[in-house]
Amino acid sequence: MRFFILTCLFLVSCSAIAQDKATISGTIKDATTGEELIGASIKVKDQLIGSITNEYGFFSITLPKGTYILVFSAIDFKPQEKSISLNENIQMDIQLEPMNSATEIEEVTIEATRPDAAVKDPIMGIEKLDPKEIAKIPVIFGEKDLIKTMQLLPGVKNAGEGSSGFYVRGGSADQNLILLDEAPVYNASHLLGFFSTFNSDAIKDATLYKGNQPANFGGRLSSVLDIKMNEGNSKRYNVSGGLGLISSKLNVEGPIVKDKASFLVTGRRTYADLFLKATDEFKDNRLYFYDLNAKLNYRINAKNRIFLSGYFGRDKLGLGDIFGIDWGNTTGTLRWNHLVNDKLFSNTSFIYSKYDYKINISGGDVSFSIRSQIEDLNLKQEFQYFVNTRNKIRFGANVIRHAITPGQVEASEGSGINTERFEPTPTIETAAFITNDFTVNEKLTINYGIRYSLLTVLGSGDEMYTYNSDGSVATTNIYSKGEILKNYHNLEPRASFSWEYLKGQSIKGAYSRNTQNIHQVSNATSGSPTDVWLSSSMNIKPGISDQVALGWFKNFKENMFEVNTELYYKWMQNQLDYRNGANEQANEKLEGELLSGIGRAYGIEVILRKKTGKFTGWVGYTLSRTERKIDGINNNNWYLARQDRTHDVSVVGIYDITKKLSISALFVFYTGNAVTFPSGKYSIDGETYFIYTERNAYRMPNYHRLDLALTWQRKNTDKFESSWNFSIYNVYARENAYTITFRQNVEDPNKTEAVQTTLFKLVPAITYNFKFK
Amino acid sequence: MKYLVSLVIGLSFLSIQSCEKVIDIDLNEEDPKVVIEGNIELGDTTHTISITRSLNFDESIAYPSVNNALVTVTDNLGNAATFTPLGNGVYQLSNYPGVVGRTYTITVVIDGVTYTASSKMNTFVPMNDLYIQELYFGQDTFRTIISERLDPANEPNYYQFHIYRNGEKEKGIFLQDDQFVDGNVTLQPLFIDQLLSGDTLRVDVFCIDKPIYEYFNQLSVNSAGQATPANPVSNFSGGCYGYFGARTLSSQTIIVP
Repeated sequence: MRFFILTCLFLVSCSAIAQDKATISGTIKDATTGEELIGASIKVKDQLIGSITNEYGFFSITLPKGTYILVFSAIDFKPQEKSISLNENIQMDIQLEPMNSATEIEEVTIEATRPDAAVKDPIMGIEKLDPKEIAKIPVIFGEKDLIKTMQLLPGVKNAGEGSSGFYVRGGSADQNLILLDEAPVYNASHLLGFFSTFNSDAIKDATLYKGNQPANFGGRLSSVLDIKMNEGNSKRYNVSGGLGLISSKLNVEGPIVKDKASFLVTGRRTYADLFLKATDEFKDNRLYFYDLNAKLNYRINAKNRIFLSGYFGRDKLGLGDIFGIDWGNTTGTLRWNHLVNDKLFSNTSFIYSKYDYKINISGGDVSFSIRSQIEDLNLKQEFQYFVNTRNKIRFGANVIRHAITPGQVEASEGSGINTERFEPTPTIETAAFITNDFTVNEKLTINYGIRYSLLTVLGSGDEMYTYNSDGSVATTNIYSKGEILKNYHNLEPRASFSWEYLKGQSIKGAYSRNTQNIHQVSNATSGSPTDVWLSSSMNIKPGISDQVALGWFKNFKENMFEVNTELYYKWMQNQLDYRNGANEQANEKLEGELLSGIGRAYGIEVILRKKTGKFTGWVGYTLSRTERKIDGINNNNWYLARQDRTHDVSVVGIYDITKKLSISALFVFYTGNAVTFPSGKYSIDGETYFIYTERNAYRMPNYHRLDLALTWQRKNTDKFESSWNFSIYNVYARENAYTITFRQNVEDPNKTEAVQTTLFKLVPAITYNFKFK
Repeated sequence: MKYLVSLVIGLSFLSIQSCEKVIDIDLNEEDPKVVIEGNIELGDTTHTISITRSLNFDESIAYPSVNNALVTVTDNLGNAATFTPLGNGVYQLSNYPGVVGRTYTITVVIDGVTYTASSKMNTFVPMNDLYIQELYFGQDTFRTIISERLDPANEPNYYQFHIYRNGEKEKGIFLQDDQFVDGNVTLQPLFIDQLLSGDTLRVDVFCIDKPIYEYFNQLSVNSAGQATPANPVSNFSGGCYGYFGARTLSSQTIIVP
């Protein structure tokens, strides 16, 4: 650690031996909405010196005193040049005009923002999603969805047909850290996964890191999905919305004080239940969700800015008065951006995050409910120090208090059911990190850093258990609230480099260690809202992963095409799975139902993109393998993880026929998941049951489908804009297997048969989008 | 336009309805294994053990019986007895009353291979009442069976139910533990297909021990289409399938009103 800091200082200082220098800092914004632009570039004309804006739109660049022409640019915006004479530190806010139509984009031959970013950026396994691009890609039910689009990228796999659960490079679904304005979202699924919790109208930017994230991110083994919400138009009011078959949404934004304060409120609700009401058979069923995003931001002065953002979402599902379940996330972020000086940027965040579900059951005299939740309080301080044009240091610390209530039962008097309340089990997660982006020379850039993480297990004031290897209770103790029971320390080194050995071609390498202290184990095929979160504890050790990656990146035809290839290998420790027949609901001894082991995942990912022109899109391919070895499963031998898919292909094409009309197509093919099928059968109590020999030794049938969409812009005036979106999911009605089950034949009970269930064959959808300006 | 919208809505809902079809899958074969199941019952009654062999998935269901086994039982006090083979894989024993609190160990020898299992006879809990309860689901009524018992406090109890409708056993596994109902009058509803007035219903409630409860729980989880099914843990050692339990029985019969 000490050596590391010394090295950092050395690297920083040796390049800082300075002649007289001065700093230009400020923000780059969208001139029409006032939204800060993330990743916009600042360059000294005709030189290779430059910088990009951070996640808050802020930049800082330090140059020898003199006269310069600076070029400010961002994708889909008109570049701007500005000449300055730099004698002292300068602050400037730049506003870029957007390019409105596709033709305009083509006419501009000036290099847009870092079109070669993929080649130069040392961070590996990174995918950026543009909400505008997402809008044109076909999706099921016509509801554009960030996570569904992300699942089309190499290395990312969906958790089943139509599911918004996902797996990254062989990791489990709980190993993805999903951040919405820095707040973790514990369940990103609505309606059992058919929708994700992210309303794409509210999203400004989304970045996915596939395991080699820099040290400022931590807490999950496989990936970080970092989503930033829009800030709200600070120039004028906008009302926009969409009417779909399944859901509708409305978005209102505008200035509170022009150029100083703005707000954004976005709401969405599905109404499948309204159709159910119209049928006799289902009229008592409830099945809907809603979500609400809200954000306020206030620029106090040039140096201070405050944001308040929140998300609230709820799913409700029910059958008459007999059964009901509802679940949802609540997050809140209060953030203060402060410019300490021209080179030092500070961000302080206070974050609240909660996920809970409640099941209500009543019938006759019996009525009871089961409730479970995870609640976080999180304080984060981060600094970004723009040392000079070659070094950018980030450092900071973070404290999270998790309180997990695995499940408690509330029952009515006389129901015969005992009310059981468990004290939430508290744990404290502390982390500190430092990371540097170091541009060694024109060709070599390095990112290196280290993260220290500490998990403190505290007494809950209730009974706490340790377990024998067979899952039975070994010790029962009551510890006073707040008593420290165990500390887990971990050091997580991270490093990556990019070497542009030829113009437009680079080789990259990366190594990362990640640890994870919050775990979720699922028994269900594609995850369930009632899957319980558990913290590392006296029984559960932190998960650890080490990932190495090597990549080759090339841009050609003036950055019109881009090929990225990455090879990765990942080792995982302390991977969890349930014992067979584990009881997940309201089980205070749930940790006794867990088994722990190791895992490994490796593969190659290739993506070819066409980024400009009338026709854009990509072809992605992944060849991979994912295995686990857990004592007590599969005779303690290695077995394929459920999400193992050998081949995974996706092809996405978007063609702008005219300015107003575009069509898009999407094709996916992947090897069926690894599954467990029976090898025999036997009789118990006069009924037939199946025998299983090896875990996940069979495959589901290969999956493939083609989707098409057409986006037709009707009106686009200064005051009003509208468009229609038509889409067809699974155009050739391929009968893809959602599940395969085994049963006795109904007519001939002497026979057993395999039954395949197909969920979606040819689903058309239509959506109308509008915007009042 | 309106017409088009309603047409598309109609189309969507038609196509969302999932469809099922029977498919062919080439499954591995496994050598047939011995399957032993049976119980020691409370009181002076007849105890039955049945022994069969497993089949491959695509074989027609006619489980071969094992008739050359030597089946003996002993309790923790050393009282031993031997089961009599009746043919068809069935072995029976009488004049060997089961007693609450005793642990029974069964030994089965087939072709020189020995299989053993033990089970404890837990507290007898009688069924106090059996009745039909109506649940209202909008305008529909739903009828369930309630088997009322007083669960003994401060001890774990595990229940298994057999339901017979007009003399025929209902398919499925019906279980209850007292995790949430310890010491209470328990009213756990049992759901079976639409009950008709005039149906004769018999419900048997067995008090079983924890390993047997877990065995059946795992069996039922598997048949519910769990993501990664696995064989339930048998209490037999020696490498066979099946279970051996000691249990108590309480039974009542009603006619559905």
